[in-house]
Amino acid sequence: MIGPSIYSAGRMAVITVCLALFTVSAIKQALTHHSLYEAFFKPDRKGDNYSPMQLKEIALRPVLPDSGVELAGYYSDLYEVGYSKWGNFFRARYVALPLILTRFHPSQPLVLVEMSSADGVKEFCLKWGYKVSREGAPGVALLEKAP
Amino acid sequence: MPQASILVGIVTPALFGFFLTSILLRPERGVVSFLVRLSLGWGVGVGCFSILLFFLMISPINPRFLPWIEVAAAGCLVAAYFLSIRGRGGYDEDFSAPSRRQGWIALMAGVVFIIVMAAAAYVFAAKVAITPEGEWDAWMTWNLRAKAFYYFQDNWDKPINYIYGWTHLDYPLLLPLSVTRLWMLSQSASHSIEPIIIAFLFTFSLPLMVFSFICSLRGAALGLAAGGALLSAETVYLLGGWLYADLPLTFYITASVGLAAMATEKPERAGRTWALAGLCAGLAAWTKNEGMLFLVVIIGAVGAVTLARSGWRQAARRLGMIGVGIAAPTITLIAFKLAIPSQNFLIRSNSLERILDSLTDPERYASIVIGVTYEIFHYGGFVVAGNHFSAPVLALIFLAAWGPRKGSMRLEAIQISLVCLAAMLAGYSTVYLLSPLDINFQILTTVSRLLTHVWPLFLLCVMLAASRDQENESTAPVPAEESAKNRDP
Repeated sequence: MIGPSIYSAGRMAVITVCLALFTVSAIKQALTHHSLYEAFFKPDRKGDNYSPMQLKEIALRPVLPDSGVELAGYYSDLYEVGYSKWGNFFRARYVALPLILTRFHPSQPLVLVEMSSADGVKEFCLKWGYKVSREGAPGVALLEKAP
Repeated sequence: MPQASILVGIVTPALFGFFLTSILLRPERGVVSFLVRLSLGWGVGVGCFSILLFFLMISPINPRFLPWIEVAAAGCLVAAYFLSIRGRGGYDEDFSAPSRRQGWIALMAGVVFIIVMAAAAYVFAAKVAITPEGEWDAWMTWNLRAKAFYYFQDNWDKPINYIYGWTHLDYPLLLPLSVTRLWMLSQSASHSIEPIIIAFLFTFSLPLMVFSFICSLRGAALGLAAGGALLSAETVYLLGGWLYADLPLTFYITASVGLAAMATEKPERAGRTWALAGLCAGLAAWTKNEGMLFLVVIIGAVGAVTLARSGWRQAARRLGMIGVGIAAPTITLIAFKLAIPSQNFLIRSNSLERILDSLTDPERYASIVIGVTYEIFHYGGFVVAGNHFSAPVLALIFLAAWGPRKGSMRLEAIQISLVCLAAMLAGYSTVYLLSPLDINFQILTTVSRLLTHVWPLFLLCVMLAASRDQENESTAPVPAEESAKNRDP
């Protein structure tokens, strides 16, 4: 009966290896993301050199209204700046992103914005020629093109 | 108290879904049966509530009544459940005592399952800490639309009007409306915790559901191994952390096929299980456009397999019950698609001439075959000594070592799952073939996501094909004999 028991042991070994590889695969991902997380929240990142105004400028860059290329402009710029330290790219992008909700083109009749304060909304209106159509929470407003 | 509102917003649909699945599923006592209902309940409940919100928005009723309507709906369902179980006999979970070998494997697989769940949860948390708004599709499409519905809840046509610059107007609304309802309950759309909670619950309900399905049908060892294998493909929890709609879609596809498998293997009172499978298929269609393909696929798979095995009467009965489940999400989807003034970009940007060019371009076929095959052999898993053992390959090696069940290909559950898997892959390949976009770009950016939609179906096939217990194989029922008694009452 040695043959069958060796056969059975071999199968158990293969099952164990498979289960081990399932685990190793998940642990490897956890370690990779731990490094990414640490790199992202390190204090000495190039992206921190952006002033809030610069980030806002990036977010307000006009983009084409056709689908597919929207936001690609500032996406590329941030990508170039932040590529060497990818964490900066994400950080910069997500600081900038909440400022504007709809795709934006200066000719757009309506635009929904979500700024950090009501001053941000005023600034946006002045820069792009909009007026507030409806206000939500402070900093959130539906804007319509000023005549 | 936004935290309390969010908690209510999560618990209410979970309760609704749990009791709805409890009414529809075979009444079974035991932990695994409870886990099946629990893991299904969240997705079913949140899907149904997104439909409710859609109809509230297009009706004259003020959406601010939403919490009261939801609580009333959940309360009615709880009452209906307790009325329905009066005088209804239950079944005990039919587990045979595991062999020593199975016991060891269950122990190892249990440890593996806990570790991979913990690792996946860590990756998810790290991902959402770095990008709390999710990745591109999340903030450009899904959550952007959710914000639109939140800000224009009294004027619902604005979020679906193209002049405001929304992207992908034709995408179905299950996920955006689920996020919107949590924002409505917490009365603020300025923080991103709500989409993250929804993504977390979908992401981690999926392995729990796969585990409980397989555990219910094939025992704990295979169930735990299935859960571990599922998460050995990192795309599963990465898509969750990106806050994409692909994970909810995968959830509903898996739920639908898993329930179909349960209905064929536990045919007593299976009629309602088919209805629940139909509801999940409908919710898949209400989640993403790919779900509409799945809707056709599951109807075709159940119809064809049942017709071939049991005749048209049985096929008609099953399809009728599936139709009952599909009805509500499908009507909602049709209402939505009729209301929006936009076509899908794959259709809008295409032409007959372009389609003919694509169909006669051999390079395009080669790109699709190479791209999909390459991804299958590099999907998840681990590199050992320069060789990539992808997650599907590891699952097959696991099956070979465990021992396949004799005549497993004759099992109805496997046939339905395999037809669904093959048809979904064929459907996706056809979309690649006809797509107006650059084929290499499209394969590069989407193929791992599309494979994730069907990855749990592959695991269902593999684990259902495993023998119940190698040492008791000779005493296991022969599938051909089983098929004779697999008649829905």
